Amino acid sequence: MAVIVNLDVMLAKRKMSLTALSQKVGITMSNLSILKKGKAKAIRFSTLNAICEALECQPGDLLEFQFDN
Amino acid sequence: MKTIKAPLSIRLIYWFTNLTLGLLALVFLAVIAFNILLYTDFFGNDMQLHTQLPVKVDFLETGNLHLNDRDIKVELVAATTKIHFFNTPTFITKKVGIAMLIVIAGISYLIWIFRLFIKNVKEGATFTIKNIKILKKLAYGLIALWIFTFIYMQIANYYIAEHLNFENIRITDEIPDYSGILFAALLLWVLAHIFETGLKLQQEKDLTI
Repeated sequence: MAVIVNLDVMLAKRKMSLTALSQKVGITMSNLSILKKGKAKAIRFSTLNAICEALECQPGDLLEFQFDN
Repeated sequence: MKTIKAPLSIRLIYWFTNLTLGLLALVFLAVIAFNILLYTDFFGNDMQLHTQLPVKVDFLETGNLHLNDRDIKVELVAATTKIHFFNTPTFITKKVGIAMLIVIAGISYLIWIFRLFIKNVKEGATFTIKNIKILKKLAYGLIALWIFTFIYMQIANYYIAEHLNFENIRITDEIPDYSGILFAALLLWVLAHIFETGLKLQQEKDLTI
Protein backbone atom coordinates (compact mmCIF):
# COMPACT_ATOMS: atom_id res chain seq x y z
CA MET A 1 0.00 0.00 0.00
CA ALA A 2 1.41 3.33 -0.98
CA VAL A 3 0.55 6.85 -1.88
CA ILE A 4 2.01 7.65 -5.28
CA VAL A 5 2.61 11.06 -6.79
CA ASN A 6 1.29 11.63 -10.31
CA LEU A 7 3.16 14.86 -10.89
CA ASP A 8 4.66 13.64 -14.19
CA VAL A 9 1.17 12.71 -15.47
CA MET A 10 -0.20 16.15 -14.60
CA LEU A 11 2.82 17.87 -16.14
CA ALA A 12 2.28 15.92 -19.36
CA LYS A 13 -1.45 16.76 -19.35
CA ARG A 14 -0.70 20.46 -18.91
CA LYS A 15 2.23 20.25 -21.36
CA MET A 16 4.46 21.89 -18.80
CA SER A 17 8.11 21.14 -18.08
CA LEU A 18 9.49 20.58 -14.60
CA THR A 19 11.66 23.69 -15.03
CA ALA A 20 8.61 25.83 -15.84
CA LEU A 21 6.75 24.45 -12.82
CA SER A 22 9.78 25.09 -10.64
CA GLN A 23 9.89 28.73 -11.73
CA LYS A 24 6.12 29.11 -11.32
CA VAL A 25 5.85 27.70 -7.78
CA GLY A 26 9.29 28.72 -6.48
CA ILE A 27 10.38 25.22 -5.50
CA THR A 28 13.85 24.03 -6.50
CA MET A 29 14.24 21.53 -9.34
CA SER A 30 15.87 19.02 -7.01
CA ASN A 31 12.91 19.14 -4.60
CA LEU A 32 10.40 18.78 -7.45
CA SER A 33 12.45 15.88 -8.78
CA ILE A 34 12.29 14.17 -5.36
CA LEU A 35 8.51 14.65 -5.40
CA LYS A 36 8.17 13.39 -8.98
CA LYS A 37 10.22 10.25 -8.31
CA GLY A 38 8.11 9.48 -5.22
CA LYS A 39 11.08 9.74 -2.86
CA ALA A 40 9.52 12.47 -0.71
CA LYS A 41 8.55 11.55 2.85
CA ALA A 42 6.03 14.37 3.29
CA ILE A 43 4.50 17.27 1.42
CA ARG A 44 3.58 20.61 2.94
CA PHE A 45 0.08 22.02 2.37
CA SER A 46 1.71 25.21 1.05
CA THR A 47 3.62 23.19 -1.58
CA LEU A 48 0.50 21.24 -2.56
CA ASN A 49 -1.39 24.50 -2.75
CA ALA A 50 1.21 26.10 -5.03
CA ILE A 51 1.42 23.08 -7.35
CA CYS A 52 -2.37 22.73 -7.61
CA GLU A 53 -2.59 26.43 -8.43
CA ALA A 54 0.14 26.23 -11.07
CA LEU A 55 -1.24 23.07 -12.70
CA GLU A 56 -4.90 24.06 -12.20
CA CYS A 57 -5.77 20.73 -10.64
CA GLN A 58 -7.01 19.12 -7.41
CA PRO A 59 -4.75 17.42 -4.79
CA GLY A 60 -6.44 14.17 -5.81
CA ASP A 61 -5.10 14.59 -9.34
CA LEU A 62 -1.56 14.65 -7.95
CA LEU A 63 -1.82 12.01 -5.23
CA GLU A 64 -3.17 8.50 -5.59
CA PHE A 65 -3.45 5.63 -3.12
CA GLN A 66 -2.61 2.20 -4.52
CA PHE A 67 -3.21 -1.18 -2.84
CA ASP A 68 -0.57 -3.90 -3.12
CA ASN A 69 -1.49 -6.73 -5.45
CA MET B 1 24.65 27.51 -1.89
CA LYS B 2 24.53 29.96 1.01
CA THR B 3 27.02 29.05 3.70
CA ILE B 4 26.18 29.81 7.32
CA LYS B 5 29.04 30.95 9.53
CA ALA B 6 29.57 28.58 12.45
CA PRO B 7 28.99 29.94 15.99
CA LEU B 8 31.98 31.47 17.77
CA SER B 9 32.09 28.61 20.31
CA ILE B 10 32.49 26.00 17.55
CA ARG B 11 35.15 28.07 15.79
CA LEU B 12 37.00 28.51 19.09
CA ILE B 13 36.86 24.77 19.87
CA TYR B 14 38.11 24.02 16.33
CA TRP B 15 40.98 26.47 16.73
CA PHE B 16 41.86 25.10 20.18
CA THR B 17 41.70 21.49 18.89
CA ASN B 18 44.09 22.37 16.05
CA LEU B 19 46.48 23.97 18.52
CA THR B 20 46.30 20.96 20.88
CA LEU B 21 46.86 18.56 17.98
CA GLY B 22 49.90 20.54 16.83
CA LEU B 23 51.39 20.51 20.33
CA LEU B 24 50.62 16.79 20.73
CA ALA B 25 52.38 16.06 17.43
CA LEU B 26 55.49 17.75 18.83
CA VAL B 27 55.19 15.81 22.10
CA PHE B 28 54.72 12.58 20.12
CA LEU B 29 57.92 13.25 18.14
CA ALA B 30 59.74 14.03 21.39
CA VAL B 31 58.51 10.76 22.94
CA ILE B 32 59.66 8.80 19.85
CA ALA B 33 63.09 10.44 20.13
CA PHE B 34 63.13 9.66 23.87
CA ASN B 35 62.33 5.99 23.18
CA ILE B 36 65.02 5.75 20.49
CA LEU B 37 67.57 7.17 22.96
CA LEU B 38 66.34 4.74 25.62
CA TYR B 39 66.71 1.72 23.38
CA THR B 40 70.16 2.81 22.17
CA ASP B 41 71.16 2.99 25.84
CA PHE B 42 71.95 6.69 25.60
CA PHE B 43 70.94 7.42 29.20
CA GLY B 44 72.35 4.25 30.77
CA ASN B 45 71.28 4.02 34.40
CA ASP B 46 71.66 7.74 35.06
CA MET B 47 68.15 8.70 34.09
CA GLN B 48 66.40 11.04 36.54
CA LEU B 49 62.80 9.91 36.26
CA HIS B 50 59.72 11.48 37.81
CA THR B 51 56.72 9.23 37.55
CA GLN B 52 53.23 9.34 38.97
CA LEU B 53 52.86 6.97 41.88
CA PRO B 54 49.89 4.75 41.00
CA VAL B 55 48.59 4.67 44.57
CA LYS B 56 47.75 7.18 47.25
CA VAL B 57 50.00 7.62 50.25
CA ASP B 58 48.93 8.04 53.86
CA PHE B 59 50.97 10.24 56.10
CA LEU B 60 50.52 12.56 59.01
CA GLU B 61 51.79 16.10 58.76
CA THR B 62 50.42 18.91 60.92
CA GLY B 63 50.11 22.38 59.52
CA ASN B 64 48.42 25.71 59.81
CA LEU B 65 45.57 27.06 57.70
CA HIS B 66 45.25 30.84 57.80
CA LEU B 67 41.68 31.80 56.93
CA ASN B 68 39.63 34.92 57.84
CA ASP B 69 42.38 36.12 60.19
CA ARG B 70 42.24 32.87 62.10
CA ASP B 71 44.76 30.09 62.42
CA ILE B 72 43.25 26.65 62.04
CA LYS B 73 45.30 23.60 62.92
CA VAL B 74 45.09 20.93 60.21
CA GLU B 75 46.64 17.60 59.34
CA LEU B 76 47.62 16.41 55.89
CA VAL B 77 46.61 12.76 55.72
CA ALA B 78 46.53 11.43 52.17
CA ALA B 79 47.86 12.49 48.81
CA THR B 80 48.63 11.35 45.28
CA THR B 81 52.26 11.92 44.58
CA LYS B 82 55.17 11.43 42.21
CA ILE B 83 58.19 9.27 42.70
CA HIS B 84 61.69 10.35 41.77
CA PHE B 85 64.30 7.78 40.77
CA PHE B 86 67.86 8.98 41.17
CA ASN B 87 69.34 6.37 38.88
CA THR B 88 66.52 4.73 37.08
CA PRO B 89 67.19 1.17 35.90
CA THR B 90 66.65 0.82 32.14
CA PHE B 91 63.97 -1.86 32.54
CA ILE B 92 61.79 0.74 34.28
CA THR B 93 62.53 3.63 31.89
CA LYS B 94 61.82 1.41 28.88
CA LYS B 95 58.42 0.45 30.28
CA VAL B 96 57.59 4.08 31.10
CA GLY B 97 58.79 5.17 27.64
CA ILE B 98 56.61 2.66 25.82
CA ALA B 99 53.59 3.50 28.00
CA MET B 100 54.11 7.21 27.27
CA LEU B 101 54.29 6.44 23.54
CA ILE B 102 51.06 4.41 23.60
CA VAL B 103 49.15 6.99 25.67
CA ILE B 104 50.34 9.98 23.59
CA ALA B 105 49.57 8.10 20.34
CA GLY B 106 46.11 7.17 21.64
CA ILE B 107 45.30 10.71 22.81
CA SER B 108 46.61 12.19 19.51
CA TYR B 109 44.41 9.83 17.50
CA LEU B 110 41.35 10.69 19.59
CA ILE B 111 41.98 14.42 19.26
CA TRP B 112 42.57 14.00 15.51
CA ILE B 113 39.18 12.33 15.02
CA PHE B 114 37.55 14.88 17.35
CA ARG B 115 39.01 17.56 15.05
CA LEU B 116 37.29 15.87 12.08
CA PHE B 117 33.99 15.97 14.01
CA ILE B 118 34.31 19.65 14.95
CA LYS B 119 35.36 20.48 11.36
CA ASN B 120 32.17 18.81 10.05
CA VAL B 121 30.03 20.69 12.61
CA LYS B 122 31.80 23.95 11.73
CA GLU B 123 30.98 23.40 8.06
CA GLY B 124 27.31 22.77 8.88
CA ALA B 125 27.31 18.99 8.32
CA THR B 126 26.16 18.17 11.87
CA PHE B 127 23.77 15.23 11.64
CA THR B 128 25.65 12.87 9.34
CA ILE B 129 26.55 9.17 9.43
CA LYS B 130 30.21 10.24 9.40
CA ASN B 131 29.76 12.22 12.62
CA ILE B 132 27.89 9.36 14.31
CA LYS B 133 30.75 6.99 13.43
CA ILE B 134 33.30 9.52 14.75
CA LEU B 135 31.43 9.90 18.06
CA LYS B 136 31.21 6.11 18.50
CA LYS B 137 34.91 5.77 17.61
CA LEU B 138 35.73 8.42 20.23
CA ALA B 139 33.67 6.60 22.86
CA TYR B 140 35.31 3.21 22.12
CA GLY B 141 38.73 4.89 21.94
CA LEU B 142 38.27 6.43 25.37
CA ILE B 143 37.23 3.04 26.76
CA ALA B 144 40.37 1.48 25.24
CA LEU B 145 42.49 4.27 26.74
CA TRP B 146 40.86 3.72 30.13
CA ILE B 147 41.53 -0.06 29.96
CA PHE B 148 45.16 0.57 29.02
CA THR B 149 45.61 3.14 31.81
CA PHE B 150 43.99 0.79 34.32
CA ILE B 151 46.23 -2.15 33.33
CA TYR B 152 49.29 0.12 33.32
CA MET B 153 48.44 1.34 36.81
CA GLN B 154 48.09 -2.24 38.06
CA ILE B 155 51.49 -3.16 36.60
CA ALA B 156 53.08 0.03 37.97
CA ASN B 157 51.49 -0.75 41.32
CA TYR B 158 52.99 -4.25 41.27
CA TYR B 159 56.44 -3.09 40.20
CA ILE B 160 56.76 0.06 42.29
CA ALA B 161 54.16 0.62 44.99
CA GLU B 162 54.11 -2.97 46.29
CA HIS B 163 57.84 -2.84 46.89
CA LEU B 164 58.06 0.70 48.17
CA ASN B 165 59.09 1.33 51.76
CA PHE B 166 59.22 4.64 53.60
CA GLU B 167 59.58 5.19 57.28
CA ASN B 168 56.77 7.65 58.04
CA ILE B 169 54.57 7.18 55.01
CA ARG B 170 52.13 4.36 54.43
CA ILE B 171 51.39 3.32 50.85
CA THR B 172 47.67 2.65 50.54
CA ASP B 173 46.07 0.26 48.07
CA GLU B 174 43.85 3.03 46.73
CA ILE B 175 44.53 3.05 42.98
CA PRO B 176 42.95 5.93 41.03
CA ASP B 177 40.24 4.47 38.79
CA TYR B 178 40.10 7.35 36.25
CA SER B 179 36.32 6.95 36.12
CA GLY B 180 36.11 10.40 34.48
CA ILE B 181 37.39 8.85 31.23
CA LEU B 182 34.69 6.17 31.37
CA PHE B 183 32.03 8.79 32.09
CA ALA B 184 33.19 10.88 29.11
CA ALA B 185 33.05 7.74 26.90
CA LEU B 186 29.51 7.04 28.09
CA LEU B 187 28.45 10.63 27.35
CA LEU B 188 29.91 10.42 23.83
CA TRP B 189 28.18 7.10 23.22
CA VAL B 190 24.84 8.63 24.31
CA LEU B 191 25.57 11.66 22.12
CA ALA B 192 26.14 9.33 19.14
CA HIS B 193 22.65 7.89 19.69
CA ILE B 194 21.18 11.40 19.96
CA PHE B 195 22.88 12.20 16.65
CA GLU B 196 21.31 9.07 15.13
CA THR B 197 17.87 10.45 16.03
CA GLY B 198 18.98 13.86 14.74
CA LEU B 199 20.01 12.28 11.44
CA LYS B 200 16.59 10.62 11.05
CA LEU B 201 14.86 13.98 11.71
CA GLN B 202 17.22 15.74 9.32
CA GLN B 203 16.52 13.20 6.55
CA GLU B 204 12.79 13.55 7.14
CA LYS B 205 13.10 17.34 6.98
CA ASP B 206 15.19 17.14 3.79
CA LEU B 207 12.59 14.89 2.15
CA THR B 208 9.66 17.10 3.11
CA ILE B 209 8.81 19.18 0.08
